[in-house]
Amino acid sequence: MIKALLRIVARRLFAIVPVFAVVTVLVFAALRILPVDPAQMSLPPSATIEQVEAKREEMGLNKPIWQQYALWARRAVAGDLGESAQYRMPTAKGVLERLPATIELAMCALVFAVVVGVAGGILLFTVRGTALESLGMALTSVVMALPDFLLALLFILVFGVMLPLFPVNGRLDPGLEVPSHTGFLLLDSLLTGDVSIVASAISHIALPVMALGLAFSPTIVRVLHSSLINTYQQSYIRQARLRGLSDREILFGQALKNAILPVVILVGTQFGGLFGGTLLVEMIFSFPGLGNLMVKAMQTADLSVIMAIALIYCAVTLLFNSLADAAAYLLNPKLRTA
Amino acid sequence: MKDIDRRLFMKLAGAAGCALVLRPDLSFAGEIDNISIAWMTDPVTWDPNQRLSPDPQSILKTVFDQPLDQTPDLTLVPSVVTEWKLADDGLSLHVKLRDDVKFSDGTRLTAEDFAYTYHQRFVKGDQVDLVVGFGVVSDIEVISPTEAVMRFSKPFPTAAQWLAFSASYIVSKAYAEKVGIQGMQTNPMGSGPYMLKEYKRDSRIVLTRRDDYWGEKPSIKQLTFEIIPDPTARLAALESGTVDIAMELSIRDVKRLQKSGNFNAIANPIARIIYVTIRADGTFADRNIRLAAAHAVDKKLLSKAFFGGEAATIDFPTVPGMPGSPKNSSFAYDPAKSKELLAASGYSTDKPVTLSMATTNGQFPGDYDMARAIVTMWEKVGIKANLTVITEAQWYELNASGKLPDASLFVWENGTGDPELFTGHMFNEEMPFATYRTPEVTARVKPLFSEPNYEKRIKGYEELNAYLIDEGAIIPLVQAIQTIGYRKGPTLTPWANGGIGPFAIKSA
Repeated sequence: MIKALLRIVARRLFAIVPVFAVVTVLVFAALRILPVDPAQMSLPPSATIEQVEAKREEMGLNKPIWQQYALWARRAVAGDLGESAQYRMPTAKGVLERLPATIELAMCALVFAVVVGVAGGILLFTVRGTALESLGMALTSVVMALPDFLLALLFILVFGVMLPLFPVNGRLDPGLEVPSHTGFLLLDSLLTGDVSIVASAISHIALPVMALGLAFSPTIVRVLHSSLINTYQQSYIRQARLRGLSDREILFGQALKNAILPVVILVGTQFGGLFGGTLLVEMIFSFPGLGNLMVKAMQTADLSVIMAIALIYCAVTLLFNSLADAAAYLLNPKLRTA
Repeated sequence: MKDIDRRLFMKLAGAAGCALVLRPDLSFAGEIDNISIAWMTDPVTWDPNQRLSPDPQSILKTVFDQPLDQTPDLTLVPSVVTEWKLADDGLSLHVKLRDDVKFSDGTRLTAEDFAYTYHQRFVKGDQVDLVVGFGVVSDIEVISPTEAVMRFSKPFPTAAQWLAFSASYIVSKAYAEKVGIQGMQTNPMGSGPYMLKEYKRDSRIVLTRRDDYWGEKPSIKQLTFEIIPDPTARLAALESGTVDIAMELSIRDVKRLQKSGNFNAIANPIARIIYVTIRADGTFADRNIRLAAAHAVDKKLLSKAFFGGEAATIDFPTVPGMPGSPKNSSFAYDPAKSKELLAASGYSTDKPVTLSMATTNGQFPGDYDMARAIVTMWEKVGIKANLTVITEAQWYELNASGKLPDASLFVWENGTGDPELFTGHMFNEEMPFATYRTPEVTARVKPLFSEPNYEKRIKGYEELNAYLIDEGAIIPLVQAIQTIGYRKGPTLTPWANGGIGPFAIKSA
């Protein structure tokens, strides 16, 4: 089974490559359509028309777009994503500096969303047929209607100002230093063994994680709730009851492992949306990740940075889709025999 | 002029508020251990000469010294440079420097560092925005460690003003040669009152006071800038006690804080103007239409609607009190006159003149809504404007290529206190910022760029500003405001240009 699983994963990952290539073409073309002239933006205001033309020639902007793309792709494969017009440093350096923060935020938010979503889905299922179920469904509807950035602002107001339980910006309290071993602050904090540092890191990431995760969890609640209802209509559940298994044993021992499958697929396919949500949430919480960088890049038309971050978001989405497929394969025996 | 990033050059206006360090007068008892300020953006680079962007200037000024400084009314005063004299022909500037200034590594700041900053950096090809103002420097003669002569390839009457402007900070030649430009971007070492202690990009900047600083020692031992781009989050940081001061809040929040018991807030007028640019060709080639458009805009209403009445209305492309502002002259809101002027050109509300207008959306608070309000005001007199949204970057490109719509709502800043950076740059058709381009205006503005006599030059700008308004060449609207919220206890004295710095915080 492991071999088959690895084969599935390898096939999925291999399939990402052409999809990713198509996305790079689309993003590249879209950025070139924007009415922004990179040559003119990189020259002094006093540049003459001749100087602008010379710069365009130097940047290859007069070449056919497919040649421009080929030039970009060749450099990108070698790790050169161009230079940031805003920061005047290699784009790759700036992007890689911020990537761990966003990955950490997204993964923590995902874990939060799954824990809350699964717990909520089970809870809602256990009170099915009662007024509490209706109340729960209404609550999930309300939370689903709130976009993550609005949740972020609400959390700042409630937990940052009215009940100042959490800090509202940054990643650590002033004065705390964490040596970077893994690039992920939470892990590096744990490695210090200093409880105050760990507590500080957790308290700073709490609100952004909750804002991002809570926006995603109602969907998990509803899908799991619905999936459990469907699962409980299967004959093996009736048989389990006849065998004398308790409700708890049936739910956690029999039904959940089948009912969870749609949730796994959902998480994999929707993770891209959660990852994209980091854009505004990071900006609101001044969390120094890719989202913050992307907002600035869009404001200043820093095309190489926009391109690099767009592609990272794309790659993460594709990767998670593939992992979701692999997880589904692992969890669903029917897929293995198909 | 060396190559620089054009978008950064365009940000030089922001220096109006930020290039000049705000010196709020926060009074505390004794020394203060730490003051935390919620700030809008990260400096992006610690090379102080690299960017003209307005926002980081206040932060850079804590670590680096400028040759000259400014008072609240933008008068130049000595700093590292104690004396300066512009030659009668404007082709050189003789400067004398202090002999007691040290960089934070203990080395002495000399005229060699001055020469390196304002000339040698450009010669060796460093990509720095400082070249925008000082690209005309052809040589700097170092006479002694405390004396030098800047020589210019053409008359540079505003050389002294530019020495107190954005990106104008003296860097250490030895340090720059040791660490290179990349090192300077990440590890600052200056002669200013503070040293960088902690820097987390896009998150936090912590600065500690230098006890060996040559000048007046600030009361604040440690300055912390919390980088918080979102204004709601900045307000929350203030209200939760995370920070002591929060910059650039919404006017609604300012009003609320002013009524609260625990906080104060101010709306500080700064040297930045919001205005409508006009093209000299197309629909606006007709002077009647230009003046009709100008008379139709109710600026007081715009100030009330979008700035809570705190923004002063302006009739000239400058801010009140700045040199070059015509005296005893104004321009009336008069929609009846607008209709009259349009009728003279054959237009009316039934037969409106059509034109195109562009606006940004988010470049400054309320920009899009303000543009829509102006379009509505114009409709009432017989001008139908088709509004489109563009980005700030697009504005510069369209303007440079002559493709900007007939009118556009924009913002312009000037931290020099000199009209050259307002009217001069906005109307010199040899510069890419000019929108209203005519031979007549160019003939009036160009000589002012090389007029070495200050009084004569300022008089020239006064007359030019009056002419421009008479011709309807621009529609100035309001002077921008900078909003600051701060916790109660200290008093905050507004500064003319919206930076913020430690020196006005003194022991009670």
